[in-house]
Amino acid sequence: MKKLASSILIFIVAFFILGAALSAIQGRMNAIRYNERLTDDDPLENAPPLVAFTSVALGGFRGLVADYLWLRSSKMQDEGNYFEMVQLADWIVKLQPRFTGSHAFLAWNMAYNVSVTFTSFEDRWRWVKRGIELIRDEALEYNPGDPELFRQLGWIYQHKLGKDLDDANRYYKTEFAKEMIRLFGDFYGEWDELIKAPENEQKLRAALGGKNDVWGILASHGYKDFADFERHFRELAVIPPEVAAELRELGSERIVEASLRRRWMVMKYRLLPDWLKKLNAKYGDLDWRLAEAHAIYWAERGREKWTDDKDTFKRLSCDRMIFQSLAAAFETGRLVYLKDIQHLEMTPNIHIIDAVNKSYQDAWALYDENTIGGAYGNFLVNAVVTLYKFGEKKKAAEILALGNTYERYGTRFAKPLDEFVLKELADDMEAASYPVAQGTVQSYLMNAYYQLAIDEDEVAEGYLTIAQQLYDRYRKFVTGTEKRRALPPWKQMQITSLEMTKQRIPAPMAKRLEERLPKAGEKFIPEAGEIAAPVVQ
Amino acid sequence: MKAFIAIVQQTMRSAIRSKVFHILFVLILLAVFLLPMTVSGDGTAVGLVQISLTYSLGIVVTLISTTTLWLACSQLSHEIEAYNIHLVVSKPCPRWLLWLGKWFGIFAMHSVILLVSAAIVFALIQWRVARGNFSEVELTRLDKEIRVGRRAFFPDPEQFDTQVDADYERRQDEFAGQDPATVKAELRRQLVAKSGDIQPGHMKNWSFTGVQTKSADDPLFIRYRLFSGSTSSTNQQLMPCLWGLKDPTAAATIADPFVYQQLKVMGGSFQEMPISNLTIDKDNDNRVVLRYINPPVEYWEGAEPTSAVFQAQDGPAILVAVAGFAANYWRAMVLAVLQLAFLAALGCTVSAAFSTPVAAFVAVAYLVIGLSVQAAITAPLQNDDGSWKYKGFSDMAAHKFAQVVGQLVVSVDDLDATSDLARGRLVEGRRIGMAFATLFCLRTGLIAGVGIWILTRRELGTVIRK
Repeated sequence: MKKLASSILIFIVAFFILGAALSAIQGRMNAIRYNERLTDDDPLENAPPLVAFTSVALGGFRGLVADYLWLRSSKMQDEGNYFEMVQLADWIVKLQPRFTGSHAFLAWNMAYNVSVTFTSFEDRWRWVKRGIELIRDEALEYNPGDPELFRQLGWIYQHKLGKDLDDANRYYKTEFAKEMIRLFGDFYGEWDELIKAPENEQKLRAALGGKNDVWGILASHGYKDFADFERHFRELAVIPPEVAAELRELGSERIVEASLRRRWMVMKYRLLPDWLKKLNAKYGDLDWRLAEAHAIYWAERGREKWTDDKDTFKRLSCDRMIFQSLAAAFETGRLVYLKDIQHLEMTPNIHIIDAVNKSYQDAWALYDENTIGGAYGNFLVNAVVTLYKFGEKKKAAEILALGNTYERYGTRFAKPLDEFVLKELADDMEAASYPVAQGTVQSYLMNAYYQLAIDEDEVAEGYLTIAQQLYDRYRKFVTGTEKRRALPPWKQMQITSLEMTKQRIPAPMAKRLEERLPKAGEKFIPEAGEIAAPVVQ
Repeated sequence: MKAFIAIVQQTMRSAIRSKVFHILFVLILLAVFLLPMTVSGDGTAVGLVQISLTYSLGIVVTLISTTTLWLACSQLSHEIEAYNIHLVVSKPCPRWLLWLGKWFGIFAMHSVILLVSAAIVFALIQWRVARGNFSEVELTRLDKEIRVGRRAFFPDPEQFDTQVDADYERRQDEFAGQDPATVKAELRRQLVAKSGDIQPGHMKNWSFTGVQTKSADDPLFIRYRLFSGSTSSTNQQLMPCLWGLKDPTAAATIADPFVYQQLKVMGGSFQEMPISNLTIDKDNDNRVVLRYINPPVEYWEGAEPTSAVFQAQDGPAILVAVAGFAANYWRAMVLAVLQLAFLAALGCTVSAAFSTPVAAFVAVAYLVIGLSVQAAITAPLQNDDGSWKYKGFSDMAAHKFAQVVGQLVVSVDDLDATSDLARGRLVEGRRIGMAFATLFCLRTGLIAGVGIWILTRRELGTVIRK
């Protein structure tokens, strides 16, 4: 017994001596490892104890375990057992926290391959979100500066959410916008306030000063601590009204909410307010409730990291993502949120035209004509038509003239503005994606309402007729693909366009427009269509 | 009986003292209490229950099976090697009773551990769901799809023979001079292959009889998997499809009494679709008539139309709730208990013949063969009609051999019902009965007989003390 006790004692003493010695030299060993380039990767940082433990304890065997989990994940996917995939992906990331290629693949697989196996849009959106979360919440946690992860994340925003290739794309856009509306609350656009907001509890205490009894108020409402209050805030997306009233009396509501929202943006969504401000300054007023803006954000962050010559191709892919997303934001990058009818609609964001144009020109200068020329030409055509449709004829003419200065495009832009636009419009409606078609119809409707507001009834009638004709033409064209590409119901489009017109014109004119509108108590609920079976054998 | 009880008690005491058992028991405790609290599914209530069942229950059953096998392998052989057995066999106690006592001691002890663990896992899953803050919609879906025992109804068999005879009669001139049986077999094969292949602009009906629900508001679920183009194509795509269900109340004068639902599904993926139980024709053998239409080109939104291929084993099947979750859970546990009985018998048998390490090796080898044989049986590719696609004679011979071995060897996979539980599938009483009759009584009985015979014939006194 004595022998056993002394053995244990020796073991404990040796354990502590060796532990202390190791901790003393660990920093130096890491520095040597980094300076002498003994490994490709930097030492793992930010890892929770479980990840740090498995990385060290399993050593080389963690690769084998990860391989097994990977095979199981593939098998589960083949068998349609998707419920395990989130857990398996989580374990794989924890076992191989530096293997970002696998993280990107797993995220892409969930967002693209798994999501489309579900028929319900809600289920699909859940899997797209899981893909985003795997990169944003897990992989980026261990590899906070990995540009490849930024690029992959940006790609999901740009392609999966932004494009119309998935039947559920509108659902994704709407749900994402709702999530962002919850995140920003009334602080949308208040970037300076968010930048200055305290980033943790200690700084909030310091900012409030010693006399401020915010914590007493929180305790009186049953919150155990600030973290408990923060959890509840994120559930509600607002400060609970009874707490808000007391904080307001104390004069602390605004700073507390700013701090909470800042922390939510940075810790959960990894959106840095100073970056949002910087990008808005660079590209104009991006709408951060839409996926395109987030694609630009992640591509910009990725591009910043790829500075070596060997990274040219990767930097180009980020540049492409930026100008493609900017072009998409120009076409549908502004959100119209009609709160009373809970309707979200994406419309063109024509104010960012100069920024989009500059991003293409910068890329042209940086790479070569053949890489950028084709995409830039298409953008110029879209820009001229969209600006024209939204009444910005002067700017449209300017862009047309700019297009004409490029030898590459020959006589493509050498036409009078009206002729150019009318030809493009006719072609557009034949092969329009739904955002373009929607923008076209909206612009004519808005023109109609504007003319109505200024007593030009006949002109208004003319615009309305064109809008109706274009709507009908597009509807015929998309017959059979309505689920994916159909425009909103005609009456709904009228309402949205009316609201947009009212927001753009001076208040008295908006009031006048309202008075001049014919009153009709229609309901704007889409009628359910019956599916008739086709004639088959 | 007194001797039997004494052997059982001594076996249990000895088992509890084993160090391997201690380690595995700690792992079992971790799997029971820790795993259900740590694993996370896809964020839904359904995912949570599915992953908890798969991981917690699956690992608990695996660990308990491992301890059962290890202790069964070590008990008899250890007593023989340590001469402890002489104290027993010198008493008026037949050797068959000795073997049975050992087997029952290990089996009973582990069965109790299994049932207690299963009860805790069950309670923890229910508790996690209750505390999960899930919406009513999610909980309803969970209760309809997973926390339930759903019986699968398969379509009435198609009358291929009648069609083959008719086709043969019609084309008799074409087949002049050929063996009628061979020609008919080929016609049948073609017909079976073609029956699952639905070209664009074509349709197929399936009829299900005897479909009954437990209560009036229980929905039915159609489970199916279809492939775009071919089952072996890796380039599966999204396909438009129209599912129709015959309305039993529709007047006979209506030309098309089907109610349709238009969907887009991914080829190669399993799908489940809820449908109303009003589609059951109660006046006509509780029949449900299902129709699949592979839509014509105008539905394909510019994509290249392809045929929709159904394999017989992928449905469509209709799933109907016939039992509650608890009942289904304990049915699965009955199968797990049978698995323990088999493993205890296997371990005691090899333990009667060999030393502990050799016994463990032989037992594991037997189980590996059982699992490998299952893989070998399903390894060859299949034609669309379900027949096997062999590359040559050796391929076919190896496959036949695997099938024969599969009939003789018990595979523990056959007794694993965790995946059924996780999918809300009913563990059928027939399956339990068959497992009891063929796996337990017949094959486990055979192994037990061999073990008793070996122990009876073995000369226990020849072991020389070193």
